Amino acid sequence: MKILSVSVRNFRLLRNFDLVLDTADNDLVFINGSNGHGKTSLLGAFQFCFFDQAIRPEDFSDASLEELRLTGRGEISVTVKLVLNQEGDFALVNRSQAVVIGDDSTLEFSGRPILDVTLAFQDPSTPSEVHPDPEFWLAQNLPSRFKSFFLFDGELMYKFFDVSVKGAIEQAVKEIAQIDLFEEILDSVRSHRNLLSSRLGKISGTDAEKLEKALATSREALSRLVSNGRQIAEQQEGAEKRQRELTKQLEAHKDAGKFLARNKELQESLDRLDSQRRAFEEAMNKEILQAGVASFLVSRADYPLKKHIKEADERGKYPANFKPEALEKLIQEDECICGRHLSESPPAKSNLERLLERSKNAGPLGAQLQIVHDSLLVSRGVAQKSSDSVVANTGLLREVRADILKLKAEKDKLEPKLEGIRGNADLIQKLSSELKSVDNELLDLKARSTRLAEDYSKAESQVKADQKKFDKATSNSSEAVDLRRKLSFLEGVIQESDGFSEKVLEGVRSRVEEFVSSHFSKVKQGKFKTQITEDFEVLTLNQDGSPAELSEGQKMLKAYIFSIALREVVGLSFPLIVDTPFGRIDERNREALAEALCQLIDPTSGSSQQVIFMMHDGEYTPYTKKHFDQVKSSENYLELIGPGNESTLKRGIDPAWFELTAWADWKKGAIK
Amino acid sequence: MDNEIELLRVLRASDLSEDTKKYLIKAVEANLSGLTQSKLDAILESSLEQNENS
Repeated sequence: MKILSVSVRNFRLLRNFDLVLDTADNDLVFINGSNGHGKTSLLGAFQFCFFDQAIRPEDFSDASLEELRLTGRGEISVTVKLVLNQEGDFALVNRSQAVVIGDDSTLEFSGRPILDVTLAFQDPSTPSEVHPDPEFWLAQNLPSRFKSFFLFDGELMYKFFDVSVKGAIEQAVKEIAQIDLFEEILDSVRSHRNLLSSRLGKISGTDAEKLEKALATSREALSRLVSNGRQIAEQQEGAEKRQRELTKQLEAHKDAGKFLARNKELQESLDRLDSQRRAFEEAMNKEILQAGVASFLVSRADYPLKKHIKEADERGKYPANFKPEALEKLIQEDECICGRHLSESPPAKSNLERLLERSKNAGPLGAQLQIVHDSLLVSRGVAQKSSDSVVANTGLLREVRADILKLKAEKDKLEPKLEGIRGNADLIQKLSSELKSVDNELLDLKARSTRLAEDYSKAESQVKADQKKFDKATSNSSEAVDLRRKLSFLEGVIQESDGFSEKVLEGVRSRVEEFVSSHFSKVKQGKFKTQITEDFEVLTLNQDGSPAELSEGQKMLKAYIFSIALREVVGLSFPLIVDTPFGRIDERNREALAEALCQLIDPTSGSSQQVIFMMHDGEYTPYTKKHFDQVKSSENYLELIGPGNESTLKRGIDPAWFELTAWADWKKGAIK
Repeated sequence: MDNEIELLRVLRASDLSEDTKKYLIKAVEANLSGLTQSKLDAILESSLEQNENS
């Protein structure tokens, strides 16, 4: 299908827009224009015409509205008329929406948009048939399910596979394969079978009629089980897919999990050691305090005690170091302290006697001082013991502290690795928990599937048994024989068609995959291959099967190829209409994309595609034009005229563009 | 402007038995203008007739 002409009236900048294409140059059509010259208005006009996209009163051309306001009455209409050509037959599509001006000068719609489709054979100027259901015709020929693949804003094309197009692709493939239609037809065939079966029962008598009803019931039961089985299979497929995705995601976080686990271990060890360290420090503090107190007491008590002892000593009130009993014994036995010299040294005896006298005189004060002195010695011992304990604990504490430092160093080393993944800890937890739940769901589904298979087997046997009884009970009249023959045929058709839709879907999916893969590979010198998964995810892989990283230009190219593939593969040939097709990609990629697209739409390659590009001055350049010139194309541009900035269409390249350096160089012949 | 091509093409290329294939193709073609039980009856009759003749 190709567009032969477009007329737009009163829509935004397009008050009087007319494009008429020669059949010779309508494969590649450019409607170029600088920003603000009406390209997006034209895209909006197509969307209004094809998909009844809502328009607002403000979408009416300013100049037309001004005229309406000046006259104060009447109505104006936005109209978009297209003439389409499909292999020699023509369709004239016309959608319009009128607006009136109210009493308070506000604009109001006059009714709903109106769509007309007139068919013409061989000559578009002589319409021959007004289609009775124009919306149906449009839905059949330009299904809205394909919207994402033939009418869009190229600015978004590089994100084509990033945003969720899986649903759109699945819908498109289903549309192409016409699964819904096929299922509807099969339902009609089943109803027909049931009708014939019922008729056979009726003509064969009451018993047969009853058996036929039983057969219908058991068939329904079987059919419900098949439907349940499909549902379970779909759920199972979904759950398995989710299981794969989750496993893959968790796999990507495998190292993160390892690092997080080690970090946890380290933290636990650190906590344990820290608690040990605190216990040691606490014990040491106690010892230090004890030693300190003892030392303090010793230091505070030592001086006064010595003083008291000295005074007591001077007054003979401090006990000698010898107990009186021991001294008396020495004196009695004439022995010296050393046990030998006393008898030989009389002064020693008198000395001993003095000591004895002194000991006796010391009295209670000396004894008390002696007790205090002894206690002081004990305190000194305690302080010393505590000090020794502190020294010993200091060694242990040092070891614990060294261990802590070691673990902290390992933890610090781990820190940069944890930096990026710490935020993922919750995610990993969530993924693991979801995976567990999906695993359980799958177990449940598998169990249900097994039970269902058993039920199906029983129900199938029941149908066979009922069928056998019914066949036996039916009459042998010629009508009954004829009906049995028909039923047997239909039964065969129904059984054979079971699961055929899935096969069709698979066939379309694999052909689109093959097309995209071979074209993308051709353009990219075999660097990549494309895979369309069973759930319609479009993957790009390197030759070794690993996922490929694509540049924005490559992504756009793949999206265009995919879009064209959907048409090529299934022989649907509605045009590809894109506003700013090269979006934001750089000059070098634009050139490569232009070259690649021209290869795809080259009519000499057997393509029957029509492509309509609306490009701005950054996209349509001498560098891209040199590729476009390889294909027959129609060059047009939008120019603003008049005080109301109406956009009008002219042939060729906008003369204003020749003031741009590249075009000036091209005109001089500097760019070939 | 025929939009049934793909399903018909797939049906023709399928590994369904010839009888089933022919019957379903006729049903898909008949579906273009609405599939009624009487149309299905006619398709069935002609399919069986074709079988007998072949």
